[in-house]
Amino acid sequence: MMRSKLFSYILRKVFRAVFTLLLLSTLVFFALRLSGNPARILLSPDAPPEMVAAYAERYGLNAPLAEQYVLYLRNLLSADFGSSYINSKPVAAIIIDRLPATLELGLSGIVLAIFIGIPLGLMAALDRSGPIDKYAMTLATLVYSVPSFFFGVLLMLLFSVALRWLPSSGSDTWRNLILPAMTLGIGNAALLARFTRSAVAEIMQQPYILAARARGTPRSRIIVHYLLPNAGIALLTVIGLMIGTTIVGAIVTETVFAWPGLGSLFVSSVSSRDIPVVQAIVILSAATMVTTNLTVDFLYRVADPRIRTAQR
Amino acid sequence: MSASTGICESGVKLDSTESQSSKDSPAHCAQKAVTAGSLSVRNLTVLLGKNGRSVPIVQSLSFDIKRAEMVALVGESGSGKSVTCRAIMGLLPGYMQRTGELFLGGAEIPQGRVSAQTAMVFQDPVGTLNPVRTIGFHLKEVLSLRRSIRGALAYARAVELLRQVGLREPERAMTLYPHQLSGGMNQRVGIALALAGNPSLLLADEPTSSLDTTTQAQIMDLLAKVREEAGLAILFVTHDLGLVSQRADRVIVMYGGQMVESGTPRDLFENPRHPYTAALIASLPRVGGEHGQLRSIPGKVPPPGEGPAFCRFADRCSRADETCHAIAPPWITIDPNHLARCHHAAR
Ligand SMILES: Nc1ncnc2c1ncn2[C@@H]1O[C@H](COP(=O)(O)OP(=O)(O)OP(=O)(O)O)[C@@H](O)[C@H]1O
Ligand code: SF4
Ligand SMILES: [Mg+2]
Repeated sequence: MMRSKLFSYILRKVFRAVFTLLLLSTLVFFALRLSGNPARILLSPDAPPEMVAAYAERYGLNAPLAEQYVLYLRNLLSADFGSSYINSKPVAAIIIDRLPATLELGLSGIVLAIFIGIPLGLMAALDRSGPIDKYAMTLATLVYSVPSFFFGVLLMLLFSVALRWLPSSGSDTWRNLILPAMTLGIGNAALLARFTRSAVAEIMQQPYILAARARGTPRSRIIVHYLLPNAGIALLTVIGLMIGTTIVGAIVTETVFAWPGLGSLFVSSVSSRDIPVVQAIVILSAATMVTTNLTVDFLYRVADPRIRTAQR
Repeated sequence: MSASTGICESGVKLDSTESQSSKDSPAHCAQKAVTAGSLSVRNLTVLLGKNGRSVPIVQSLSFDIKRAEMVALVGESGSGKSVTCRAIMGLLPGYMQRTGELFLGGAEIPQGRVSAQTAMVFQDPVGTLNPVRTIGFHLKEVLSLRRSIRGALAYARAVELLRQVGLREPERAMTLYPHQLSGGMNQRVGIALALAGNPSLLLADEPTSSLDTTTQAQIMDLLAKVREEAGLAILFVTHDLGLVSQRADRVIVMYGGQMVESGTPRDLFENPRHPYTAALIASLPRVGGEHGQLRSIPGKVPPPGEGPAFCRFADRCSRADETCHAIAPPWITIDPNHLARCHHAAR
């Protein structure tokens, strides 16, 4: 009985996730084709009509849109993203080639954000209107309101151009990772710091904190057993959101630092109208978001006894 | 139950305009009654705001609570009951400061330290427990912190405590989270947690306000039981004069941060001498009365630092005259246990 209820819950969630993805894929398909015959846009305006026709033939662009759509969906289901309009390589291979670089960058950014943002927010909240709260939080607000490419350029000017400490582009050594990871991570660090601060401040106002203090619970224990687990539950959503939007966030950063990942691939594919690649990247980042959402949802049930036991 | 004394063992001098402290509370108590009761509060004042302007939230409270005595602290919202509890507990926020002395079993409770002899029960039973930890965690934690009991012994003691406060399946309750128990059951857990540290004083800040009437009565019974068994001194905070009329040994009425009247429930109900106490009693819903209509007192308790400075009640009092707006009212002794602080208390 208990088990079947949980099972149907999971099924419902997964079904909703799949439906979201399907809806998104459909939107992507039609949106990308609204701008006209890709063959015509792809080739230069003065390309001979035979060439356009041959192109359209080769990529199945002559079939009615509905037929193309059905084919597209069927291919998607078998994880076939088609092949690039530009170099005819399978899209899946192109993406797999670029994925590790983005994962490396994205993970570094997230780790950076977590290790800077959470402690900062925590310290600010535990020492309200202390120096960290005053200066670091003002800085975080400032950082958060500045677009990340601005940071990227700023960091590059400082560390690459002026100080010549770190390379400004490429991905040959670990030193190449530092600036783009900072660019990607710093906005999220600021976001996390602010969120952590308000979550912690709110928890410290809760009656169970006062009650614990009345029972003589030392501050360190209050932080470890009362504050952190409760704050962690509140932070789960934000961290999930951060991970979910990593690919989108990487687009700007990778372009600024010529980092050879999915982000820069996306930008170049858009400008060359390589629709299969563009649509694959959009679907992939949507899938990342949907998957992290789903994961966060399940983690909640593990972490929060109020939800975990309510299911019974 | 032993007959309780009033604010002070030997009553109050009536010539109480001689100095600031005697005006606010009987000063000679401070020397005398230190060992008499389990808790002695002398001139307890809580100031809000540390530097620059500071306003009193609680002003010159003096009272005693003996072993196994339950004293009720009543007053409308904002009269300073919770702040009084937090001050006694040693848990005032950083921007509040207490002055005056607190003695527990004869020993002074130092400033700003949580007293290990004191335990507190709160208004929101579920909210005062950590939502992501089990009942067992809470009990074992306090047993370890306050009594140095750990391991299997702590488990056994925790189960015993839960049984003592009336949980039917204590072993099962140990594994449950707060939200899995009802408000009343959580409040029993709250009381078990308070008892776990073997306190001599229990501060109960509206422990039944969020519970239905039946549960309320059960919790009151439980408090009465533990008071007998453990010889606890209990300070019981409530809005509800009706609730304390049968339960408390003595009642302290607070208004605007000050004590205004103190006596047995019988004194207060049959012979209220402070117009505020009289108004509180008049506002009680009467059994069989006009449909239990609650007549509230017009106006509100003035916030700290605002409102009349002499008699805090002067702007709402029907008997106020020029004296009330110009001179702080003295403590009037009606009988040794019954005191009121009003110019017209003597009638
Ligand atoms: N943390 C605080 N900061 C500033 N003022 C406070 C704080 N806590 C209480 N006060 C003020 O002190 C006064 C007394 O508050 P307190 O909470 O002690 O009242 P109370 O008698 O417990 O009321 P209630 O019946 O509503 O619980 C109120 O005017 C309140 O606004
Ligand atoms: S002192 Fe005056 S204003 Fe205050 S309660 Fe008594 S009669 Fe009313
Ligand atoms: Mg209160």
